[in-house]
Amino acid sequence: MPRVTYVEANGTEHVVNVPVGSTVMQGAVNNLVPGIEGDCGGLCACATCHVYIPSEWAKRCGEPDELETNILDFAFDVRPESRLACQITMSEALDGLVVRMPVRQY
Amino acid sequence: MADVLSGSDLVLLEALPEATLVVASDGRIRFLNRAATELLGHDDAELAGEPVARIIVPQAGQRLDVVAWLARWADDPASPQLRYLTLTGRTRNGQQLRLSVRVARLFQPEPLYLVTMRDVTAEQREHQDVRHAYLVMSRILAISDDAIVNLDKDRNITFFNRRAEQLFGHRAEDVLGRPLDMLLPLHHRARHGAHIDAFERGKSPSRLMGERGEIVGLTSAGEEVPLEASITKVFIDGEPTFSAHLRDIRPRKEAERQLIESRERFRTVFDHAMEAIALLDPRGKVLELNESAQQLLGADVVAEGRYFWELPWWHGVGERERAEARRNAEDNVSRAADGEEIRLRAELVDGRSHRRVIDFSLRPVRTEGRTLAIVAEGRDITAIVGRD
Repeated sequence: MPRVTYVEANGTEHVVNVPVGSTVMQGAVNNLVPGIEGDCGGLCACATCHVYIPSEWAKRCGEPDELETNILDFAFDVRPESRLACQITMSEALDGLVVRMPVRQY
Repeated sequence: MADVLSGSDLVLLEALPEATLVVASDGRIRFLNRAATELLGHDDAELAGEPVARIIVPQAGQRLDVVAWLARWADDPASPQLRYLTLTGRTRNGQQLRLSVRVARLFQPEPLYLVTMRDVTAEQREHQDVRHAYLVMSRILAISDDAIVNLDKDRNITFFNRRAEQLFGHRAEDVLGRPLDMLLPLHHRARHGAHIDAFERGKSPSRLMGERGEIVGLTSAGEEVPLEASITKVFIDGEPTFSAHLRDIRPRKEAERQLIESRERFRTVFDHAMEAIALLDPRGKVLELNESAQQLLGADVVAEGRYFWELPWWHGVGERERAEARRNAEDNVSRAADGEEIRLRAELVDGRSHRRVIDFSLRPVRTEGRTLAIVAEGRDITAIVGRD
């Protein structure tokens, strides 16, 4: 099962197995990783699973679609590497993925 | 600036109990009703013609274009984002409010946005507090050294912590939503099910380990594991949920077995020694006496728990000797407790009132400068002394 390292804004790391087909947001919520809320449950409707994807992983995570780009308007401290974790579906190609969390989701 | 709205529209909007804004497509405020002025502290005259950004403010780091979102929401009034996305309103005195909004397009062809706002600041904060408390409590349970398994009313597994994964050899994702029976040996399932039913109906909200008998779990490898459990039930909306804290009692049973075995071995050696041996605590109270010592003292004398110097064998021939013998014994025990090894020849009176000459020693058992116990040993040399 692919592994994801979630890095909190304070540097705390959570290494978690996330099943293929699940999302990076679900992986965090199911494993009680703080810093990713996922209020809407993965509908791409709340901007509370905002993460930063390091540039070396960006390509493998795919491009955000228009809806995701729009919803990111509501996230805080948005940067070019910002994504919504509910829109990144796990695959074996993402084994070893590192995602960083912003200081706040609200 | 409310000129585009007719008088009757204004009367209607003014009377709406929801805080309501009318915003033009250029982002300028056309109208605020009374509920909105009460919510934000501004009045209509102050804000009419002002950009909506005066009261709906993007947060630091947000790239929010409020007018673009009003248009999106007006186009799709059933949009799921209307439930989850909130705007931040700023009151006249600078206070920030979380606002849940609904947007409708009011007139065509010139679009006006009718925006109703609901203050969800307290609601959102409570929701976050609950989530954060849940996160903290869940992490506490996740790292518990006891296996924790939760069940819903149908006895399906809803929580399975790390220790439970280790104990049962299943991963949480493989058991969540599945029946509890998969963690029980076949021949225990019916009885265990009846126990849960009785617990559900019973008056007691919880039962702790030690208050109930052991149960048996089944691992993924088919091994049966004796377990002790604390259980609790919580009824939510009339439906029960169950939680069990489980502990594998094999290590404890093994430790108990080893302790009994070790004690039996000790007792065998202790009782087969030729010498009379007494084990004393550091204050001089008798903890144990071996067979030889018991014989010397007299079979029916209980020594355990008494001070060593108060045992009847120090009885001398007369009152004075007896007092002195006891004082000496007490003094010697006290010196041994301080770490000294003592060896001397003592005269005792045995259980049959015979005087015995004893080659007697007191040795402290010490660790890290502290006396744990004192070993009193005596060899009966009456016969040898008599020959001399």
